[in-house]
Amino acid sequence: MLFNSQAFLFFLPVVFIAYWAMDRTPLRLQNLFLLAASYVFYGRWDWRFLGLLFATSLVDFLLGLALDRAKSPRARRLLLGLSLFVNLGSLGFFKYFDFFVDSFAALLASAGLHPHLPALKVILPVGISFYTFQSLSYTIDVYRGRIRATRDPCAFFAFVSFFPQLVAGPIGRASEMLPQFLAKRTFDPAQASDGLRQVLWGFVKKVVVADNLTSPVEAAFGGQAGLGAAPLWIGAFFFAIQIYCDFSGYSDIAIGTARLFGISLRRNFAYPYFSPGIAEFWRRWHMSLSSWFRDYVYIPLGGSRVGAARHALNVMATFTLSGLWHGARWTFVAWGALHGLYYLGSMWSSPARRIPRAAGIAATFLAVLLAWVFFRADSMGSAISYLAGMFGLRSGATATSAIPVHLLVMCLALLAIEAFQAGRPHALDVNRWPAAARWTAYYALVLGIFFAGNLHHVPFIYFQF
Amino acid sequence: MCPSSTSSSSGPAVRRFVGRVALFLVPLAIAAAPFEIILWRSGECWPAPRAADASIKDSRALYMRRYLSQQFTLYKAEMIRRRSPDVVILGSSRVWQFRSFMFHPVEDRAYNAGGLTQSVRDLETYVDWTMRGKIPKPRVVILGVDPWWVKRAEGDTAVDRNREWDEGYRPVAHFDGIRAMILGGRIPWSLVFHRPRAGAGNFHPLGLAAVQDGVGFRNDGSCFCGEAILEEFKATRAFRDRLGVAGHIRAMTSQFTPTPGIDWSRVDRLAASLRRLRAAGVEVYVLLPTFSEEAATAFRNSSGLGTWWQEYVDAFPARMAQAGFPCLEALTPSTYGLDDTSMIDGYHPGELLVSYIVEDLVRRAPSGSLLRSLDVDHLRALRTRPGVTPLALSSGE
Repeated sequence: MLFNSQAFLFFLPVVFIAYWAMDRTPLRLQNLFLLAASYVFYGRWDWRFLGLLFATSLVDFLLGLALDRAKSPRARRLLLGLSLFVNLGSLGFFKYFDFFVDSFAALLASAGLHPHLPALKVILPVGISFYTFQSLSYTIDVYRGRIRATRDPCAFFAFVSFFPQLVAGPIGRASEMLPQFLAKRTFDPAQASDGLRQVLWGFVKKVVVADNLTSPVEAAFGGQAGLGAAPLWIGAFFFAIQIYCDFSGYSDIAIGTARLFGISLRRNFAYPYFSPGIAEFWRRWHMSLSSWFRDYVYIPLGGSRVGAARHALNVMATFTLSGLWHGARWTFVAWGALHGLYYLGSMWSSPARRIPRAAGIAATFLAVLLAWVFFRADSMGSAISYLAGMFGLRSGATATSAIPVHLLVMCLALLAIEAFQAGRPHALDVNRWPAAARWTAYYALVLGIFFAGNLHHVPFIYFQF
Repeated sequence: MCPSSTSSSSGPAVRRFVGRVALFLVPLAIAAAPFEIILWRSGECWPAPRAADASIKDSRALYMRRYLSQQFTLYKAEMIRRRSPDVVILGSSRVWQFRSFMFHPVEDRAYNAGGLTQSVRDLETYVDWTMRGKIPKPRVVILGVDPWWVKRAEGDTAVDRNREWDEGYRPVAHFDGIRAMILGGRIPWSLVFHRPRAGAGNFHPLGLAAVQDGVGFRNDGSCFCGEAILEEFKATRAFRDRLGVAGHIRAMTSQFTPTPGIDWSRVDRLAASLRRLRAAGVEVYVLLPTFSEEAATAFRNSSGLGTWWQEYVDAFPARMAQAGFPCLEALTPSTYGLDDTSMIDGYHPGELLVSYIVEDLVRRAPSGSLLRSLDVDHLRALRTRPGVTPLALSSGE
């Protein structure tokens, strides 16, 4: 089920009312209801993958209990290894099997060999990258002794499959979320109201901004061969805004929806395009994933407490893996690696050469925008060609296209609003405004969605990851 | 960490919150109400079964949506279910001028289902439905095949008709419809208070295309193209390519984007579907519907489309004949000694031209065929009735 589908329009109020109507029932029943609702939410996309979701949850639940009981470090390592094997194994199979087979076949082909390797054309279960990482964080934290294993399967299963965050995050941590499923939730009207505001802003970003940029972005990246530098720059700029609004819009809807149920999710975006440096950008962009990689990959590799060369290797490994996490394509790997290089560059640049904040923001945005070309392009060749076109290093550009001024204005207006609200948890955090101004803003945004939004539920970009 | 049970209730706070949300929504609902009334009163948002019921009951009904997706497939399938016709005309809008009265004396048993199948995939779905008894099986199918059905590099229609939701039931479709109505600046406010009145041709309009433009499906499934077009023709007696078809062909836009030619695998699928129909005892006639002379010339002279056109008029009929389905090639009006004034626009033939096609089909029908029982003299007489124009054999309707 998509947040921007009409099914969700009915699903959310029904689940919300039923959930709070169960307020006086045992907590386990309320969690069971939430679990059932989450499975309905997920099953509407493809019920066949509910089994995988269930199996992932079951394995980690049981391994968590076993880890709790196991005394010897060897047994604990073995159990953690099993959890890693099962979780990363299923992720690897569904997401990367064909990628590695194809890449291996291409490698062999370049050596003049043409073996018949199996390509399974596996369907990628939506959200697998998100819920696998969430579930994995539980066993790792139990192994590290940060949390105790839970003995309440309802709470654990509800935590893994909690529908607002199930298919595209934010990736929750067991240490933060599980206690919320194990304790009584009390309805907080202020939290719920602000949650609804966040949902509304998320929808504005998704259906008004991101979805209206879909066509021009497709036109730029699909028809790049004939385009000159200006339309290619505009196409890349639009994609930068599109992916931000699409994904942060989803996150806002997810976080806001969770707040309606009395559950706090991790913040996922903090106005990343206003970052004065690349390191800060990564502290503000897809925060739940970048902190996951920091805590479970970068730091275990040694982090920065190693020699300079090893540190650089750790940075590159972390960024490259985070690129690969997005999908089984070399363009994602290149995108991650490029950010790794940016990061190293910013790390090694002399503090004396610090530039004014505004210039830093502009330079960071430019660097991020160039990297997005790899993220969006279909192939490495296409990305390089696009970048060459942006810098006028390619001949044959004949097509002219009118600059969609209204879309540019829309993007700049969005950035202006976000700049104005920077520092707030979300851009529609207007609780301090007078009631009349607040309600006027709400109606204006609802009418904005109605008149300018794309109501034909365009899928969220991050669903494919 | 043990599960606990809840003690105090959040109920009153939740109720207050829901009340505040409802209060917020009330003005929006009030603002939307007149538009919803318009959608309902006009028949625009009626689900297909209801629209089909109304069309069956009222022989003067004229039905077509304007703002909600038109969903010809759903509506025409419902009509076929209700009428159980013996003769079904299939194809796109280019077969819409087949009128039931052309099939005298079995006019009550003929239905124009043009719009139900708009691609090879749609045809496969139709055959599947027919074989499974989801819609009644006819005795005769006349199928118009457009060149873009078998065009290489043209994606088959993305819509899976088995999963098509009726727009009448989709709130988002209502939002879309209301938005289009407001932004289009044509809001029929009178419908808030009154039912739609009979329009041109004394039709009883259903759906906002019928109400506002007087365009829609008659009871026999054929399409009334609107009084304005007929009046314009009577005044000028000249052909006008209203949809700019020849221009699109020359510019290679719309359905006419460049292609290396015909997708033969799709032709094979088309033939396979027709074989299934024939095996079930259905007579099948394949028709290549008419383009204006101007459009056909543009096709022939096009650098990007020339091969496609040539294959469509030569190799495609040959392949179909080989498969046991010879095509009736009514490619241009000159096939029947007519000119472009017999066309509604660049690729929609008018009724006079279609009457010649029907006569041609009768001539080709094997003995014992239902088509053989058609009264050709009646058909010929229709062409000489007073008030007749090439676009409309029955004056004003």
